[in-house]
Amino acid sequence: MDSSQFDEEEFDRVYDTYGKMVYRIAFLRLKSAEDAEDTVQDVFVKYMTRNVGFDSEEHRKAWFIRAAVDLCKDLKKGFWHTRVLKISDLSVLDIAVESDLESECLLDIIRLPAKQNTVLYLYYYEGYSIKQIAEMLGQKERSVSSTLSRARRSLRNRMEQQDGGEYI
Amino acid sequence: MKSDEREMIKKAIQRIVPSDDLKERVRSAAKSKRRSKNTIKLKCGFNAASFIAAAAAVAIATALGVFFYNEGMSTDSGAGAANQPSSQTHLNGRDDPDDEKYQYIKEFFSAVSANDPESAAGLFEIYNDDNAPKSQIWNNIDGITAQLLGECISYPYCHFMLAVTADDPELARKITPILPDGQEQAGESTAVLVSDDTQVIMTTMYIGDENFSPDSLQSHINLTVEQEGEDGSEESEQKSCTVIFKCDHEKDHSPELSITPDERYTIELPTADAASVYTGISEIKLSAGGIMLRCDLTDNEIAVLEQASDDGYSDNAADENSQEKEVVISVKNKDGTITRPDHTKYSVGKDSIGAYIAFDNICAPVDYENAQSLMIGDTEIPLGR
Repeated sequence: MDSSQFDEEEFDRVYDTYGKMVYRIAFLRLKSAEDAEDTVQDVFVKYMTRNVGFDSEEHRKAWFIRAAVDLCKDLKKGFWHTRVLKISDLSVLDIAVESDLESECLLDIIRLPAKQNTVLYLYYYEGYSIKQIAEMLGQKERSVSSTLSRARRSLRNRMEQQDGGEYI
Repeated sequence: MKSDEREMIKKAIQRIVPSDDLKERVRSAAKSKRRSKNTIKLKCGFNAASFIAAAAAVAIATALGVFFYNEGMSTDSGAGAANQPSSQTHLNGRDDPDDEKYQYIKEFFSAVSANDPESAAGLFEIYNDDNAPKSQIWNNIDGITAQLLGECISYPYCHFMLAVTADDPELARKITPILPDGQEQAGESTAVLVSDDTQVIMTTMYIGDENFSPDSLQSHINLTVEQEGEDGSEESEQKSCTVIFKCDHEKDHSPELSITPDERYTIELPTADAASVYTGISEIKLSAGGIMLRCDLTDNEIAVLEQASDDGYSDNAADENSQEKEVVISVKNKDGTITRPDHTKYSVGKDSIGAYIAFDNICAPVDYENAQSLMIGDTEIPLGR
């Protein structure tokens, strides 16, 4: 598709529908706003230049989720990501930004390993079942269930360490 | 999980929002079919307060002399990691962790094993600098120069990397390595074109367990060169290149740092099933080869962990072959910097002393003088002397 054939209407529709979702998945996995933005760009470039159709809107949504996860993995495999310490690897996330529970909860979610916070996001935020997540990410149900359980346990442990704060 | 807890998580995640101008940048990228490069910027996507936190972190990072960057690189690194070294325990001839060339060659290995031509090409360019080490060079093949760039032994395999340069750039693209006889089980080679006329080839051979201790190791690599015959037919010619590299076992081992924790630490290890195994750690040994933890493990726990290791515990399809584990090990240094592995795997076993878990790849060299603590997952273990 060259720029003259670019479907503005389609782009607006899919970005408004899935832009934030892709960004959130990428941000949680990469723990960096600029990397998340790069990933959003890559996902939508991929989408607008794809050659495949979709059976349904759910199918399209699943495609965006999988593409976001895959492109995050690609980005993390890159040379710099394995070699250079980024600020987000440091204590940025250890600084209490606000004392309210939502902020603490968010920081705790961000601190989770990428696999865990992706599953947590899809399960609690997007409302997918474990079976659906497993199918979407090409994993075993048992594995998704185990990942989710570890994510919950980590969140609990972290909150317990924060002077008795509780949300789980 | 209670419904109010679910709401809490949802509300927390809702705070992650992209910047207002992202949509237009994405539109522009989608139109031009390529992502625009990020400029150096500092933004946190969830709320204003986090910006303050990030700014504080930059101040901390600057104070610590941490390299802060924005890379803006392409992400099309490919997924050809089938031949990725399982660990980089010995890099012969470059075994000094303080030697930056030692670090460099590790980076080179990583780039080639990840089939990342962009990074490999950049590193090869550095390698070709006059100041960089030159290894053995062979000119015994007409029109082709083969140069040993580095070796990496991770029992039971040895990985080695060759730069193969052809006089004719077209020829360079047609060179493919053939594994020595009997080495097929070690896996396929990875070849990355780093310039018009040079391919860097990383290949793997089976050398057996740690008892294998030769003074030198020798292997023949056949390079297949496909050429067009005079009548236009494709001809395939095999050229042989002998690779010899010395294993200096005296030099290979960096000093070990042994730690006996004052208290017993507990870490959680991933397993192939939902059950997690908690291990009390009684002793830790840290060396260039990795980290060994002495643990109280029952035979059943060992079996579970072994199974997880054999299964190549991995939650995602892209990593199915990578044998990666979720456990992340890093070394926190006194100056606040963190030495991180590319990936971490473990093996479990029992010897005459007892059970152990060996994390066989810390990858980045450990600075023994400055190492302060060991992070295993979320558990921080101070290093004593």
